[in-house]
Amino acid sequence: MTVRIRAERPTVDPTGPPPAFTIRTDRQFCEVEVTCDPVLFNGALAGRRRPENFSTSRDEGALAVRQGRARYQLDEAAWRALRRYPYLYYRAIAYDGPLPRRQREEESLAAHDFRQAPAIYLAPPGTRLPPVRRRLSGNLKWLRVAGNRLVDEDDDPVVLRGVNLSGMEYTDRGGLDPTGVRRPTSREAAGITRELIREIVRHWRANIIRLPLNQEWALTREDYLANLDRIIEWAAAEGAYTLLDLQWFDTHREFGHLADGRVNRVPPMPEENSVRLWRLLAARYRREPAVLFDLFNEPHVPLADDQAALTPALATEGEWVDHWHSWVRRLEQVIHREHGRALLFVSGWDWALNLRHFPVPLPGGRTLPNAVYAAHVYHHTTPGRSTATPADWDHWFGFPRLREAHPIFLTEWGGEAAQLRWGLELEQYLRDLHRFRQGVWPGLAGWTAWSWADRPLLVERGTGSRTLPNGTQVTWRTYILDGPHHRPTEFGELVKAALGTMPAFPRLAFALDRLRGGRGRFFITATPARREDFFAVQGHDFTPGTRVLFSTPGATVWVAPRVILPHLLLVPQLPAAVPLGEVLCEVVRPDGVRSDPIRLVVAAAPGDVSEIYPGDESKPAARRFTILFLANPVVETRTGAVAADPLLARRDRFHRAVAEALRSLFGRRETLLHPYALDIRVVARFAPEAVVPAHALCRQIAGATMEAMRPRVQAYLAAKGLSADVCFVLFHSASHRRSSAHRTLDDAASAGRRFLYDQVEYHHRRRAREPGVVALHAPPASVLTPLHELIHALGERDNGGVTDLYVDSPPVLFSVNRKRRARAGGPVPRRFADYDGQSYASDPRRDGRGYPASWRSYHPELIHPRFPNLMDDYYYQGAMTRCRLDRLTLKFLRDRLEWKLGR
Amino acid sequence: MMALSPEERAAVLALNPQARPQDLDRFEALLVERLEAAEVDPARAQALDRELKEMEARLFPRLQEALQQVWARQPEEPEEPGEPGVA
Repeated sequence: MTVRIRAERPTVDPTGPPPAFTIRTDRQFCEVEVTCDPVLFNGALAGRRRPENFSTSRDEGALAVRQGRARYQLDEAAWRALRRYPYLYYRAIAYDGPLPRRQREEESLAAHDFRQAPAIYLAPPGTRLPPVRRRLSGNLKWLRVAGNRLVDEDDDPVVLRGVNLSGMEYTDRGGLDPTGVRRPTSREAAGITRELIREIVRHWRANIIRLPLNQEWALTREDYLANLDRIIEWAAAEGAYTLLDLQWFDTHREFGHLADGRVNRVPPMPEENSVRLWRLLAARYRREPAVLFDLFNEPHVPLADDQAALTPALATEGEWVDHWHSWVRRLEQVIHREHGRALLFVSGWDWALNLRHFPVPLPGGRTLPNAVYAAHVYHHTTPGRSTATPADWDHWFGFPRLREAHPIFLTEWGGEAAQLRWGLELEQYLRDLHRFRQGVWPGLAGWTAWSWADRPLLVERGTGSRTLPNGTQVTWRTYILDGPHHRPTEFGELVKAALGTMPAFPRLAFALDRLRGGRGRFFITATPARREDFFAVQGHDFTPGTRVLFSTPGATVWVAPRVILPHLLLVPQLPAAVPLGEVLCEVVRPDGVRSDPIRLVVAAAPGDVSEIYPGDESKPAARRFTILFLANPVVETRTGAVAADPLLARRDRFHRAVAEALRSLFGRRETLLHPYALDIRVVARFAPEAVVPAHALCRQIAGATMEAMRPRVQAYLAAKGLSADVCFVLFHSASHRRSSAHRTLDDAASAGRRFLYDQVEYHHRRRAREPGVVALHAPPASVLTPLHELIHALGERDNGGVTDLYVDSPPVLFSVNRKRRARAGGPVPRRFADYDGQSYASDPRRDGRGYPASWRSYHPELIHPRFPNLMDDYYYQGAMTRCRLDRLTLKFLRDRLEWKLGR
Repeated sequence: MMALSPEERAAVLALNPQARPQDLDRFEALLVERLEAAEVDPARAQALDRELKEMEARLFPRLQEALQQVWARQPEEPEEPGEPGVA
């Protein structure tokens, strides 16, 4: 027998008598150590032990052991000092002989095993941290790290942008809220209400709220956790994620003083109770996709006058960073053990500024799973710590080595009015890092600006006061409102404008120089204005109901676009009501946001070619990925004769069909093209031609189907000086209305991206020798027809494409999305295929309705059981707009597109 | 190429009573095969054209008429809100 110790009660009321312990040992004497952090059992940290964090019975002399047993009750003075912590850790040391000549010493817990230290929990009687009884996350999807992106359950890239909502880390219950009313909970006293959450999410358009926490209160207070639930639920109901951030341990510990003399409450490193906190929260929110985890706010070297830090003094920055990395690894294990899908945010070193020592390494060359690396940046000009310029940002957190492999995030940035110019430049920098650029994702997963409640402030705050009947003056911090809304500070205006122009998809972001003074108005550009021709407005964050206003000194004309995409408004034909000559044109959103007006000269006659959307203007038009809509001049009949396509007599029909096609490609549930929308050039051509065989781009085939002839389309485009990656040839026919497509023929001489499909090597190529072609009836047969056919056309003849799934015949071309079993009706293999190093499962039940018994074909797994396969017989799927691509095809086509966009 | 809609299938089978649903499935599968074959094997595509033509004449002589009847009932534009024009 050595020595064992047990607390007489595992939970102790901090307002009651001190806890007592029973020690069993075969030694003659013993002593008991009690501490708020078991790291202090380590004698090397004896210099950090103080009455407010450590107590030993040795101060009262050795405890005599009688009949193998001793009892110890913590003395009152130590109890008063220690009872404000949520957990007290303890151990016993036993020995023979009087104190000065201790022999045969034994410990109930070795100092290096401090992580296994037993603890008593300090909470009022009856405290039971409540379980989450209902789903809090609304419709929010699970997020995860994929390479250097944050993606949702559909593998779509996600950008999170929002604000820090501070207050829960320091506002105690019983405090005065921003209206001066005393409130019973921290949340209410901090002024965090459903209306406030709605203001942040709906009015400011944040989709993430970072919520700084108080570790002690989260570990000990039922109402604190219940109110966390409430905030999470409110934010999720509005569409925002909540990032829980370990900001303060408690309100009583001071970790030295900052350079401006203020007390620092931000601890330098996590402590043992941080492990308990994250274990608790990870278990609590393991079914909540809305909850994200920011492990620790700002790790740093303890300040010179920090008497509270329990970390051993380390000699070099490398040792400090290693120490922080070891904490990160430990917290990651604790959280992921409880909650395997938890998305972690890992702060950089040195008050979260410095990400140069990241990613956090794991054994075997692996890196931390499902982790985002987070930086904080405020305006500093201190030599060696400057954050003044883009070069500084590149140095601290934006350097390619990290962000090309892992997502990065700015969990704090902000400033005062004097730093507006710096803020504008930083926001522009951040925008550039979270948009696809030439098919490459630069790595920024988003940001949260600091702060709604504390300096530097995003909204104006004031001070309220009143005199109580006893003559005491009480004051509180108010919010300053303009009508129902919070009044932004000048820096807040910048952040609000940045959030207000948050793209619906990551790629749909525009340069900040299109914003005027950061005040939320935006600039637009437009195609040439010609009556009866396409009129397209390019901008950002167009919402349903957005209209175009034309005005002259004598007239105003409102036009409702047929197509409203976040980045594009399309009027198929500019109405004759729009005055000829010089007009002012502006865009008005239904929420009242208006663009700056642009000056246009309206012409009377349409032209042959319209560039509806310019795509990536950083490179010449010929290098941009281009989708071309071409009015078919001539059709070849089944007898081999040629005839004029009736479409050329109906310009209006062509224009409306192009509009429908754009809505199909960019405005449907299938998000294949959405992330790249700003890079894709869209051109339309409507021009009469002679009725000669060379102009017959489409021909009739069996089954009332029209086929586009790819070589002839290529020759025609070359003759007209046009080029495209995919060419929609629009036709009209009374007898052959079914649309069809042929795949792209890539240029094998252009640069290739190698990939393996079931261990066979193929290539995506930068350029096409002949474009993918679609014969598309005008009007399209359904809202999905253009997208369905585009998906065929994006494939490559010899290197993989996408085949129809509603037939069972063996595919003639290599198709990534259909395989055949050995025999009809045989079992569907669980694994469908390996693509690019990843295994993809099969769809065992073909959209939920089963494979016919006579079939051998089977398909890849769906993105989600609710979304049937877009290439299948979607007429049987109810609302066809629910259809999406399967997971494998989506990945395959996105890889292909990204490679081409990078040329 | 998209699958035929239920209305289109019903109309084709109604006007071509000599054909069974599985004949129509076979016809559609051949059509998909024909479109893919045209990319790599013109001779096979021509053979499939002939087979489709023969099948159409034998089993679906009124296919186009049936489809045109369905199309005639469809609106010119997909049914979606957001009519263009002067607001």
